[in-house]
Amino acid sequence: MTYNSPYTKDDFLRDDRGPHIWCPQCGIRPSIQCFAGALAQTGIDRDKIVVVSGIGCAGRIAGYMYCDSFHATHGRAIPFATGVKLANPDLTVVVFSGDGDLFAIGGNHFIHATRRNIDISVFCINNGVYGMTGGQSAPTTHMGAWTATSPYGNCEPPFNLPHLAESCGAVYVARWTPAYTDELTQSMREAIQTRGFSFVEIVTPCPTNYVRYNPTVNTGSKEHTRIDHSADVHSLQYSCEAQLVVGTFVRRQRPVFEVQQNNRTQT
Amino acid sequence: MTQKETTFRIAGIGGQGIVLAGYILGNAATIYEKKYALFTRQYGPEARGANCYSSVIVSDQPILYPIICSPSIYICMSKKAFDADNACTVTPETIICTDKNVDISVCSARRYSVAADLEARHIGSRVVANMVMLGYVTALTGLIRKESMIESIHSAVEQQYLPLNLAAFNRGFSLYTSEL
Amino acid sequence: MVDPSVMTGEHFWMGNIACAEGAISAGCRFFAGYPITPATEIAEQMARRLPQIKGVYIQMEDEIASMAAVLGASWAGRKSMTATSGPGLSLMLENIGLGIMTETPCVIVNVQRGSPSTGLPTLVGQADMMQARWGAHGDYEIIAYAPSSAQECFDLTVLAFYMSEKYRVPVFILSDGFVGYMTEKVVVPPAESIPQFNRQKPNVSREKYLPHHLADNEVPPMAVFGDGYCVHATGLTHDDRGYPDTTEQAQDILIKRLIGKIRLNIDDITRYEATYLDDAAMVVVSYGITSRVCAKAVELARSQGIAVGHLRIISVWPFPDHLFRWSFPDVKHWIVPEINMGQIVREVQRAVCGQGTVTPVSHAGGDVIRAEKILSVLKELCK
Repeated sequence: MTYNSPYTKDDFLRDDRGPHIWCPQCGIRPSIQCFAGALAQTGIDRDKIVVVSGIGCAGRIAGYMYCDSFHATHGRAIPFATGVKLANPDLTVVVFSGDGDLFAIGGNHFIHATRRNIDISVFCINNGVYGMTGGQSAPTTHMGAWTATSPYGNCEPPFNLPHLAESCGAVYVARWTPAYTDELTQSMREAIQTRGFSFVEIVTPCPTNYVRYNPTVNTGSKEHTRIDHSADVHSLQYSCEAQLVVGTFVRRQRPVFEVQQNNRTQT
Repeated sequence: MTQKETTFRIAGIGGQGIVLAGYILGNAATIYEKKYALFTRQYGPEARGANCYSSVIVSDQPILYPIICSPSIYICMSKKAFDADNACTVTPETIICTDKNVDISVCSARRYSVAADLEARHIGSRVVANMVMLGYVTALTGLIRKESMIESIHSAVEQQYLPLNLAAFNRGFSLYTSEL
Repeated sequence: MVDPSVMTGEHFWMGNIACAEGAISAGCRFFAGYPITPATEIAEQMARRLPQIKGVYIQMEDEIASMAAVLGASWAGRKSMTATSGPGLSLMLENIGLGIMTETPCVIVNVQRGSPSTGLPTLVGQADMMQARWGAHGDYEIIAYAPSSAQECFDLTVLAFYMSEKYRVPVFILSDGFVGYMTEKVVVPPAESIPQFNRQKPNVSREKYLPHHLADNEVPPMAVFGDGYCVHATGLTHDDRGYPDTTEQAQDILIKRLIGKIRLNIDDITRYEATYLDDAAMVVVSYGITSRVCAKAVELARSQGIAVGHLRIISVWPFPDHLFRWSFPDVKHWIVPEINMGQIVREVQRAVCGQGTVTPVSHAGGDVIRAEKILSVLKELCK
């Protein structure tokens, strides 16, 4: 597939910021490559793209993107992005952050931005733990997994993120792993081009602070995953043992916040 | 400083339009009389039923001090609120206007009993008893012209409720003038 | 051309409405907030007014989100504001710190109520003075103005936007539950005579632009999102490109500049009003609603032959130390009434530096201090 775009993916990566901070096997770096590729494919004017991140390993993504970017406080990337988008609807706004940032400390903002259908895309690196602080349990840590703060095995059930996004009203919901380079790139492009709140989960367990202590965790390789676009998000499995289902689960239309607001203001 | 200030205290319970009455009075003085007015309000977290107070200071000069201790005119729409008012005290000089239904134990030679609640019911709704009282006090004090008060009511009350409120105000005004 | 957003003329407004209209007159076109007594009327007025003038209003899920959205809107190029009271401000503080670190112009109105915690939701307090100064973690300088009338709610909100745009810093309006609801005459001047400052834009190419470089007046020009400068801003300590640089050296340069841009311009930021200072050996220091009471107390004292002056501090932060040290060296007694158990009085003590006595007049909150109480303190000091 070819795209009529003035950009290549390298145009979206800052070349004056190397070396990056991530570990060698980390899924963030390939995910950024997919992201930069997706941005290039859209052909959207680079000067009109804004990437916002929160705090953590994935929170550093914004700083490596060559476009307008902001590194917000922990958990607050989505409300910051909401302000950006509403203040200037001509901008394409992407939040790229981690599972702890978006769904623990920032969970409330996620459900409300989704409910409002703010026209932004949220991409979540789900690595299963708080990686940057040394591997503490997160709302996405598998049941029974060992982490620095669940030394007897994690006793909390994790979020099913696609289901959460779908039930709050997201118009585009997908889950991939970095093993699916082309699919992830395409999904990110679709999410960016979708009008309304779109969500892509990228499952890529932290190699240094999670998989090392939990060797049975499903790392998202193609042999341990299966594509099923028609899977019911309600029953998506997310455990150490089960095969991980990936795909684009939700595509639908819903009026975005600005349109709803403008319609009521003008009458 | 010898500035002449006229001070109003309006006491009632939430839902009686105590705050609206205070606003209309201050707004009339400020915008339509080109005087100075300062309006404050005191109430609790309850939207209905609790004690509620408005204070309005009217002067020909800018008003410095925002507090009323002993009002020139005390408008009492509720005994409960009057009895609980520990911010203001009435003096022998205070003009007291009470609703006829309200029985407060204060002696003043300058006490007026106004059938605000009764007249409001006749007009159509108890909720405009505050306007009957405002009309009465406007006529009684002569501080603010009737026309200014009516303009202020126009600017403060929603269109659909205007006829009711204006009728109540006019009724209150003529209640006083007919007593003369 | 007449600006339809400016309601030129005379109005009978409560302080909260005057704050909202002051913001709109200053060019504010984005408001994000969360309902809280006694500040809600500001949000309600913005919700009515902003859609009429191509502005954006959004009620967020909490005050944390509100402050984040305000920063986002400012980075997207709009003059932005939020309004809250103590409990909400406590939630906003982390993002206010982010606004300081990323040099984001915005205005925060705190309509103070009795506190701590839920305190006295409908009643006045002045106990968040130090929270405004030091509430976000870390070292910084902030700007705060304290209005004492509905007119000042309008005027100082206009000024707050002016200073926030000029110095690229969040600016506080430290109002209170009394001023917020106090309804008085407010004169809105014609649009052309309302002072406006719009943040400076860079005049160099993208390649040469350094978003956090030391400019002549210590405030770097600001390219916003969509301007084509590919800016990066972060709450991490950063270099002059805006890139993270978590070293002692970068910290030294950045923090000294963030603090310096306020401290070095204190004369431009400071507002105060001095009455009867010429012959006074005794001076009442006041701010916010307490100024109205102090003015009355000073008039009463003067009428009784007591030579007392009145220094009304309008810009509470940065604290105008220089007034106490240099402007009024002959004052022997400073009296500081405030609706808290002693906050600004400590600043006065520090600024006076032993050159006179400093006497607090404290009130725990719930009502204004009575003029008679201040008068009795003045009489006592005369003995």
